[in-house]
Amino acid sequence: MTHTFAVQLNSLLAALILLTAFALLAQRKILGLVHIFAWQGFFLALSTAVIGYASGEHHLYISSLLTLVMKVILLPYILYTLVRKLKVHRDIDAVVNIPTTMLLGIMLVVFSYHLTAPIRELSNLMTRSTLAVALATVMLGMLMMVTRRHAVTQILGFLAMENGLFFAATSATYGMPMVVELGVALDLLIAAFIFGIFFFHISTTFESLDVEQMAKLKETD
Amino acid sequence: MAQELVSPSTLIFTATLLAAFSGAPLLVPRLLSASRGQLLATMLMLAASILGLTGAVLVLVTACTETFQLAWTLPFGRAEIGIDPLTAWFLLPIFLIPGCAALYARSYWHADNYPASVRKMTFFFGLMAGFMSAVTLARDGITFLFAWEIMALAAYFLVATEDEKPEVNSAGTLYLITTHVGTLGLFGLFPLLTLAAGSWLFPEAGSLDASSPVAAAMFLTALFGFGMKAGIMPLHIWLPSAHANAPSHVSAAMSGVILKVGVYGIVRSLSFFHSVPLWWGALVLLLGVVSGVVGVAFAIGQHDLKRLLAYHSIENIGIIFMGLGVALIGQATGSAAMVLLGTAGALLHVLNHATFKALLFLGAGSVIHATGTREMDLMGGVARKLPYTALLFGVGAVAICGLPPLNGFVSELLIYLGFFRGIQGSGIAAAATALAAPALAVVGGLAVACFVKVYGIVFLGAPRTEEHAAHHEAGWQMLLPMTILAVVCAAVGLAPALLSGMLQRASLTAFPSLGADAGTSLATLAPLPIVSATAFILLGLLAALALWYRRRLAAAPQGETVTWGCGYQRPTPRMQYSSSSFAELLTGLYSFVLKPLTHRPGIASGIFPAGTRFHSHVPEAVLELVYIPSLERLYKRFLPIRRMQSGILQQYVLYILITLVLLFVSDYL
Repeated sequence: MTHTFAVQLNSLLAALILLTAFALLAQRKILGLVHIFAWQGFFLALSTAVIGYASGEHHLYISSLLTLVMKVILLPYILYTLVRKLKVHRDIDAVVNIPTTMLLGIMLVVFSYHLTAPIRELSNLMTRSTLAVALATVMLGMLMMVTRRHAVTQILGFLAMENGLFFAATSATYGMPMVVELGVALDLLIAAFIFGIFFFHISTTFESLDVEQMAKLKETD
Repeated sequence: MAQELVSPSTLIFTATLLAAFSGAPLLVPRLLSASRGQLLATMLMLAASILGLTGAVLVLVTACTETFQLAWTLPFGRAEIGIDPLTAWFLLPIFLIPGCAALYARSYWHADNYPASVRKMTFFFGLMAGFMSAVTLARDGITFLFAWEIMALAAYFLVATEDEKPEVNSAGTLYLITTHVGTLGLFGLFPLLTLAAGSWLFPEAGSLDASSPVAAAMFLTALFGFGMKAGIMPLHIWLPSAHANAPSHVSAAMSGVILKVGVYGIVRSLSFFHSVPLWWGALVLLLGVVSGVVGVAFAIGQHDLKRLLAYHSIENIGIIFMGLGVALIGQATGSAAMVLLGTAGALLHVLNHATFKALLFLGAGSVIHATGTREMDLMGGVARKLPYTALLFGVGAVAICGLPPLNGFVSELLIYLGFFRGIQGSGIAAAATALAAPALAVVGGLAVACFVKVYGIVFLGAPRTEEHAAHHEAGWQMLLPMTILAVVCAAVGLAPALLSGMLQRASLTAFPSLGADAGTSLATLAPLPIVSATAFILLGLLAALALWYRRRLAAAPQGETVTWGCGYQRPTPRMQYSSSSFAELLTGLYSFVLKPLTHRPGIASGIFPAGTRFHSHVPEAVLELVYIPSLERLYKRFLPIRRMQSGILQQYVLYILITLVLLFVSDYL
């Protein structure tokens, strides 16, 4: 595998990650969202491995493996069981309708490219062009959290954001130090357990997983 | 020194730890029964007191200064604790009062009578005492803030000891809010200090220039943060309700010592500066005058014994501030005598107020214990059943009024002498001190009026209600601490010269510029031997008078009638002066600030007039007429901003997203 081929492959994978991020915005079925999330994790793992191979930073293989285990197998599995147990299938109607959300998402991607332009000029890493995609993925994840009302989609948006951050780290500096990555992986696992517990509590307290119900917790004036 | 096993610093550090964790065994109910645990905690506190007092006196006598580096890794640089005479001076009340109060609590708040609250009360009491000491030992901003917060929170749990009562809860909440607002001031102070001094460590005394704007900001934040804790007048709002609702020995420790820790903070932060501008001194003096006069005026109007004592704390903090004001004005005008007299007066009053106010609160606790109420208008004739308590309370009352031969007189005399030195100067400094001197006199006069009222209503006369008549004298655990405090009051009053060396060393630590002028010493500036001689003569005269009166009384015919019987056919105890009728004239005079609420009865008319009642109440005017209305207005004004807090999750994420985008854009621009 030549260097240019690796760069091109990485760009393709970045495009796929961006595509899955948009798919997350568009998908209404919750199980479908979990599948798309798993795909995003898979592309991320693949991209990390490619960067690791091309740059010679072999610790990225471990990161890639970690991503594969965590984000493609473990977290989707946990979410899948949760969704089955809580018997949720469709998302509640979004705050903003899906076409508008997509348009907002496109604007955010353009904004990200605009923002990272100076970095593309300065950096000499082979992954410099994918930084914009990484930033866009973070913002799209956040946009998903803003526009969706279901607790499970909130979490998926959060996890997508985390994927974006991870991708940004690999694109900008060939990954974070190993210790940090292990820590983040552990945090994610803990977070998965915590939101699992919270889902059950929210659904029993409010008899719904609509996070807007939580506004009831606010003190009244 | 540090190599010795029993150096003063080792004693003080041991005492601090011992006090802080004296209540810890009580937290394991299986280990000890509550009663035994309380006994153990009391003994540990007493041991801590003895060790700490020994250490503090040794430091004061030898004037040694040591600092120790703490092995601690936080990203704030080095952390240090240390001792010097200024710290040691404040350690005297810090170890004396809680020791006495802990012994008192053994009888007053005995585990058998209060099984629900004794464990937490004892634990937090020790914690508070230990961390008050730690505050004075801290030598850098972070350690100071840690100790300060633990002390403040422990005090909150003590105020809220009886948290099942709603008024106790609201007093505790008010205290918690104000203490944190005060801490906010300190959060401003220490970063400014770091800015000025270059590290979180406290700078050398007199090393910072006071004329810069940063120094002015530091001065104001320190005055706000520490003034809140000390209870200086516009910031005193937490004090009356907290002192009234805490158990009496806790009130004694809080009023006696926690307020003094606030004073310590101010003295310590002032000590960093040299060439202090005149307005600092003038402001401190003004605050002192306002606190003194208004505090005592509020006190006169109170019907609740402990609230009344709490307002007297505000008054006495005012007197301490007057002393500090004199010292600062002296520093600005270059008068070493004023600096020394003012500082020594303020520091001595710190110790004095701690002893006599603790004595009074403990005495009030005994009275409340015996009568079952805090309302003075329901008491009366307590002296007959509690003769020792009455005597000891009387000693405290005379001391707080600043009358010879007790200790209050000595410290107020030093401050007066400072004023007189200031008047000899010229310009604004002379005018300020000349105006403040009569204010101190007014405070003294009103304090006498107030304690005549307290003593007359509570201890003399006849019981006003059958239900709240006193029955039993307090036990020895309650009388002994009060006796110790009374003896300290008398000793300082009779032989102030014993303390002059220590006072001078402590003052010198606070204001090292005094050391340059070798001619000034407390012994030459203040006529302490004459004070002693006068005090002894006065004591002799008093003893002779008491003896003569007793002899005459023995010869007089014995009879018993209701006080203020006035020749009525059927007098009742309810015809006695009440606390509001006694204070009516004075509260009327000060009604422009006290805003008393009076419900007057209609004039009885007709042959069979209907029943009517008189009711008067002096509310906490500053809180109820200034703070609460302005906070409510603020609350309404900010209603649109509170809409941002919708409670909807997506909105919060949206805020983050917008902030993120804006940050990116601002960076890009």
